[in-house]
Formats: sequence, C-alpha cells, structure tokens
Amino acid sequence: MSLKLISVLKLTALFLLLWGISGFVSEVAEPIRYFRPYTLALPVAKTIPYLVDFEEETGTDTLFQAVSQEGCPVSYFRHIQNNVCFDGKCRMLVATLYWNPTGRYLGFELPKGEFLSKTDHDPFTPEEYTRLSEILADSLSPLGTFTYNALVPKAAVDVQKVDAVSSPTAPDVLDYIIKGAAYTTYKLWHLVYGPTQLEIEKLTQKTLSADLLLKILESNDLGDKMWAVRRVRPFISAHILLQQKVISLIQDNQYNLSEQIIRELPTTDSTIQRGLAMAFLKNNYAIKKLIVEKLKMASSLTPEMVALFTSALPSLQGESVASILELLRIKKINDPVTGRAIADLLRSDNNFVARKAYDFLTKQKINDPYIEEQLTRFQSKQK
Amino acid sequence: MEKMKRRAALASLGSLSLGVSTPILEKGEVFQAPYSVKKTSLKTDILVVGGGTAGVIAAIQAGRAGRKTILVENGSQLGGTTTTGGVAFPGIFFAWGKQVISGIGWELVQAAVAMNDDQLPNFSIPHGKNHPRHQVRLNGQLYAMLIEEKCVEAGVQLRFYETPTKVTPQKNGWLVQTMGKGVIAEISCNQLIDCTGNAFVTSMAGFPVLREAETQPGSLMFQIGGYDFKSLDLKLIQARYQEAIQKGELVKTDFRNNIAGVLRSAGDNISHVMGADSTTSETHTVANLKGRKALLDTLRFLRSLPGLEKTKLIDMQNETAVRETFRIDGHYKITHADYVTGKMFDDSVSYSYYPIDVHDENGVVPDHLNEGIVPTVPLRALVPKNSRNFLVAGRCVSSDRLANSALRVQASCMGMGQAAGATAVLASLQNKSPLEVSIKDIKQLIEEHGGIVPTFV
Ligand SMILES: Cc1cc2nc3c(=O)[nH]c(=O)nc-3n(C[C@H](O)[C@H](O)[C@H](O)COP(=O)(O)OP(=O)(O)OC[C@H]3O[C@@H](n4cnc5c(N)ncnc54)[C@H](O)[C@@H]3O)c2cc1C
Repeated sequence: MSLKLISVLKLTALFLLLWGISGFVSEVAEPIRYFRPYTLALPVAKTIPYLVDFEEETGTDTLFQAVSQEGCPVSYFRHIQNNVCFDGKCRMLVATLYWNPTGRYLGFELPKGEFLSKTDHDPFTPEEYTRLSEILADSLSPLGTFTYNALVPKAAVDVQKVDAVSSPTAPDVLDYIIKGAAYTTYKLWHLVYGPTQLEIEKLTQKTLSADLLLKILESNDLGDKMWAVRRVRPFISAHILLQQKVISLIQDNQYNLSEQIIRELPTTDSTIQRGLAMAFLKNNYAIKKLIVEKLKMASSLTPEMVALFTSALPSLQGESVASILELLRIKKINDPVTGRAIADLLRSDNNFVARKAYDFLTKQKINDPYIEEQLTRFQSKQK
Repeated sequence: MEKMKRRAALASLGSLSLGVSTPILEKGEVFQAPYSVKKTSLKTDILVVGGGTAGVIAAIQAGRAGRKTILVENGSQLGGTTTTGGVAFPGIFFAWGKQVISGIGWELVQAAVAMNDDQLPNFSIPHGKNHPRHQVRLNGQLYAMLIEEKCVEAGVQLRFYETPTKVTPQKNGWLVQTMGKGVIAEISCNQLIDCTGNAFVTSMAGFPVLREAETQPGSLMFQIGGYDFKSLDLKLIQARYQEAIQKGELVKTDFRNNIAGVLRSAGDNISHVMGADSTTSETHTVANLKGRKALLDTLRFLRSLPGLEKTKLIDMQNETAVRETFRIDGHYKITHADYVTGKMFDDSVSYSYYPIDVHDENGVVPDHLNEGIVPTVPLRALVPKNSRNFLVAGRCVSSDRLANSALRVQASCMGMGQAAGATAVLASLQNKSPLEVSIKDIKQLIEEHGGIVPTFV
C-alpha cells in the first residue's frame, strides 16, 4: 500500500473516529433518555416557553420551564437542532437537553426512534450513553478549555506537563469524550455550559422564595446547596425554618458549604448569632475560626453569646482562646463577670493562654478587686 | 616662634598623612568603633531551625502551647519554599471530600486567602486528574507577613540571617551555635527540631542522612508577559527553540524542552534547575546562578522571535526553589507501599495526601492514589535513629524516594510541623525524648490546637 493511501485511510479513520452524530432512525420504540438526580423531585404541572436570544450560540431559541403545581421551576429544557461540523462537512444533531432550576445539567433525551451514532453509523451503546451523561455532568471537564480544533488527538501531545499547577498533566482528549463522537460530545458539553445556564439562573431567581430555597437545600447535590446558600441573604432574617436549615448545614465534613453559609449569614439577628455559637461548639477548628471571624463583624454581641463564649474558654487552647478574647475585646466586653472568668485563665499552665488573658484584661481595664488581685499575682509570677 | 609654627604644621601634616586624626563630625554624627562579632547566649525550651513551610508551624505550635521557642532562619523572611521559593500554592488539605490537614497550617493559609479576597478551591470536586484544583493559591508575600505576625503573637523569638555552625549534645538537650551577620549565638535548648528541608541540623548533629544519586530538579519561579499567547506561531517558535538548543545557545533541560510550555505558563513552575541543592551557601549559589542564567538567556531568545519582541519579565523569585536534597534515616522509613495503601501506624500523628509525583527532566506524570486512600505519617519517621530530644519536620521526613515525592508537599509538611511541635512541647514538659511521649497525649495536644490526627476507622 502506498504511503499516500495509508495516510488518506488514516485520516479517514481519524475523521470517522471523531465524528459522532444523531439522526438515524432506529427500531427502538421508547425515546432514549439519560437523567441525573433532580434538584426538586416534584411533578410537573405546566410548561412555560421563553424566547431567548442565545446570540452566537444558536440565535433566538425557546427555553422551556417545567413548573410544579406550587409554581416551583422543576426543570428547564431546550430542543437542540445543531450542526456539528468538521472539515467543512456538517451533520444535524437533534436532542433535548435538560437542566435543573439551579442551572445544573439534568439529562438528555433523543426524539422517539432516534439515537446517537459514532464513526460510520455505529450507534452508541448503553454504556456510552451513560458515559456521555457523566461527561455532560462534569462542569470542570477540560472540554471547557479545549478549542474545537484541538479535539484532534495529535494536538494534545505537545500540551505542557507542568507539575501540579495549571491544566492537568498531559491531558488526553480521548479521556473526556466518547470515542468516535468527539465533536458531538464537545458540542453537547458546550451547549450545557453555554449561555443557557445563565438564563436558567435568571428565570429561577425571579421565582425565588424562602420556600423554594428550602426545597433546593434538600437536594443531595452539593452544587445545588451552594447555589441556594448564595441566595439566602434577602430571605433568611424573616424565616426561622430557613435559618435553622441553613445553620444545620454548617458541618465539619462540608467545608466549602459551611464557609459559604457563614459568609452569607447576617449577624444582626440574635437567633442567627445563637445558631452560629452552637455551630462553633460542635464543629472543628477550621469552622470555629470562621465563625469567630464572622462574629467580629457583628455590630454587637448578645449577652447570651458573650456568656456562651466565655464559658467555653477553659476547655479551649491556643488560637481558639486568642481569637475569642480578641472577639470580646473588639466588642468592648468589659463586665466584671466576663472579666473574672478571663482572669481565671491567668492561672493556666499554658503561658500563651495566660499572656493572652493578661493582654485582654490590661486593655479592657475592668474595675474589679478579684481581677486586680489575679493580675498582680500574674505579674509577680512573671518577674 | 616661626620654628614652633613650622613644627606644628608638620605634625598636623604627619598625622593627616597617617590617617590618625579624628574625623570632623557633623552635628548628629557619632563615631563608631570597629565592629567585633557579638556573642550571645540564649536558653530556650524548643529550638526550631528553618522557618519554612513546616518550621513556622512547628514553632507556632510550640509557642502556643506555652513553651519558650526560638526559630532560626537563614533567609530574611519566613515561609521558605512557599514564600521565598514562590511555590505559593500549598496542597492538599482535603482528601475525598474531607479535610485531612487542618490546624495551624490551615488557619494561616485561610487567613492569607481571606485577606487577599482569594477564593478557596471547591474541595468537594473529585481528586485524580483534578488534583491541581485542590491547591490553594496564595499571595506569597502576604502569607510571609501573616506567618511572621503569628509567630510573634505566639511568643516565638525570631532570628533571621542565622545558620547553625555547631550542634552539640548536652545534658538534657542540645547546644546549638549559630552565626549570622555580626552575631554568634549559643542556644541551649531542650528539644531541637530540624526544619531546614535539607536535614542540615540532623547531619551536623552527627546522625546519618540519605540522598538519591540523582535528585529532582529545582525551579526558579517567575512571571513573564507582554505577548498574546493565542496569536503566536508556536510551530515556528518551537523550531527556532530547537535550533537554539542545537547551536548550544539554550539548554534543553532548562525549560523541559518545551518553549510552548514556558509561554503558556508564563513562567509558573516550568523552569528546571538540574541538581539544585539548597543545603549550603555554595550549592544554593550554584542553583541560583543556573536558574537566573537560564531565564536571562531564554528571555533574550524570546525577544528575538516574531510576536514576542516585547516579552517582559514581570516578576521573579529571589532564589531557586529546591525539590529534593537530603532525608533523615529515621526510626521508620515510610515506603511507597505504605503511602499508596494509606497504611495506618500505631504512632501515626498526621495525614498526608498527594499523588506520587517524581519530577525528571521532562516534567512529571502524577500517579494518583486510589479512591479513599489517605496516607499517614508515623512519629518514628520524624525522629533520626539513635537521637534523643531531636525531631524533624518537612520534606526531609524519613521515607523512600517515591513516598517522599508525595510527602514533601506543603499541607503534609504543615501537618508534620504541627505534630513535631506538639511532640517537642510534651517532651520538654515531661522531660522526655520524643519517642517516649505517649501518642495519645500528642494527638490530644494536636487536636486541642485544631489539628487533625489519623484515627483507625
Ligand atoms: C518548584 C517546586 C514546585 C512544587 N510544587 C508543589 C505544589 O504544587 N504543591 C505543594 O504542596 N508542594 C509543592 N512543592 C513541594 C513543597 O513546596 C516543598 O516540599 C515544601 O514546601 C518543603 O517544606 P519544608 O518546610 O520542608 O522546607 P522549606 O519550605 O524549603 O523550608 C526550609 C527553611 O529552612 C531554611 N533553612 C535551610 N537551611 C537552613 C540553615 N542551615 N539554617 C537556617 N535556616 C535554614 C530555609 O531558608 C527555609 O526557610 C514544590 C516544590 C518545588 C521546589
């Protein structure tokens, strides 16, 4: 076989390998559907169409909102009819893409009797559909950074191999696509994470209420919870149940979520302050620290909070003691009861703790014989 | 009269020419006698040598537990590889969605992130190929200031610009002589922690240390700009780069034979300084000269190429960061098999988490841990064989090369730093040597100070 012929064949094989397309009529009766967990498991009562200008992506198209009886947006979907082009040749990709109300990918459905195919008319296997749905659910897929042309595997070869910092080491396109359907995978992924997501978030935002947020917070998906937490601020002060739910989500094993919650919570409310104090008591160091830092921003601390933190002091060490004392100092706490409890720390075996108590008491200048006696004793011990 | 005048004039000339006349002082100036090296003697409970990634944490832990602590650092600021080396992306604190390294290291990292309005990574995303996303990007210089403040707050006495010159065992501890600019200090301590990254103090104290025949390359971190990567003709650039290598104008290994990588990364973690060793002033000088020469040559080369004429150096670290030098020969040597199986020891005092990550001249292809695996560090790996009152923390932990390639990362070094600090505190309080302290007590102290200790499940 001549070299030329081999390379032509190779090119064709590569072309076919990368070419995945839908539109072939099959014998299958039921439409092919692959879905991920729903954010809201509610029955759909009606569907509302919205005409949206998706600009360069597809121009004007209809985005459908599926709504429950109570008016909650359960899902969104778009019927996609898109050209997938490579080397000047285009084929039609026909599918319906679904999103959750938080913009998270939900699933895809093919028109009745249609299927996705690879290379030369080879239909997707069930495993490949499942894999496709997994790829589409991965918002961090490197497909987001590849260019359409970089899908040709050889383009990936010279990608840098830096250690542990930038893009994954030697990314291999084949790991992120369905073999034989690179362009289809790529196109679908970019449709999922394109401008539709933003439109969905805007539409859901319009119907947002404390009740809807509560429902979204019940989702098992962390991304959904994060989405809701970022939007609780306008609703939370007036809604005890939402407060309780949000505070209950501050947990050791969910650092990012806990951090986001602590950031969003207003500190003006006494019940929220109490909730934060409870979360302080039951969570680990990383979270304790966030809570104390947050409370430093509160305009004042309720007496209950002061008592709670003061009573926790003897059981704490090092930086936890230092940061609580700093909190009490910033909030200008200088009542004798608190002062006496802190004066007891002057007798701590840990000189760091004793010094922190000493710094606090000398700065707060509380007029109390017991405190003064303890201070004098500490000073003479230091000499 | 005339004679006397002449004599006086001659005398003054003579003294002038001999240079012994007292200089005429301007108002406010004082005359300083020649400097003689000052000798000082200090006594402390705990001495930490090396104020880098691990050493700072060990010192703060010791200070916060109330022990008198001195930290000796031969550079001008704290943080070591994280700050001066410019590797300001500590990893990895979370494994499989759960925090495994916390405590003082995490607190400091979190404080730097908050003060720079940076975003913490989403720690719930899966590991494997996504492991770089788990590293926390820091403003290194801000971090250097924050950790210094925390050391001072913890009562740690900082001694910059000093290095040990002699380490002698003494009854109940060590006598360490250090030398800095115009100062010689004799520091008597009960517990000594070597956090130099090079097992320098360990070796000076007479305990054997190990190294590989060929160590991983170091890197000079820098940032370049002034070009539009997308519009570059990479094919042409690559061809010219290969020509320059052929002609001996550039060295293939300086940038991993990958000029596109240099341009894409804009200098972030792409340089390779082969054989870089920070153990002594002489070896570190060589590494610095090599790293800077390679960068300067490459900058000149880049500026001669189309689209890159305006390439600029935006920033560069003050020294070449070093990946690997010496490790201690500890009571236990953590093996690759221990690491990849997440072996739990009776004396595990901290977790570690990273793929096996050995760099060669071409770069690195990380070998990821299997799902659910979280390796641990036994206390014995932080204690040189036959030593008393002596600990190490950081990349010189006792381990084989493959295990070390993962153990050396920053969060793991911080975890070890806290464990070593806590152990030294208890050893000094109880008048014991580190391996005589109860592991239960060590774990309790670490937890009281926010650290996470390995537990059997
Ligand atoms: C280029 C590069 C990229 C890396 N990438 C990553 C990454 O992506 N993520 C990650 O987590 N880790 C990474 N690492 C690994 C990690 O940064 C280091 O292994 C870790 O920081 C080592 O910590 P250490 O405390 O042992 O040493 P260092 O942080 O180096 O601290 C040692 C300190 O001791 C001082 N010292 C040394 N000798 C003396 C002496 N004789 N007297 C006094 N002081 C002395 C030094 O000045 C320094 O301050 C990388 C390392 C390098 C070099």
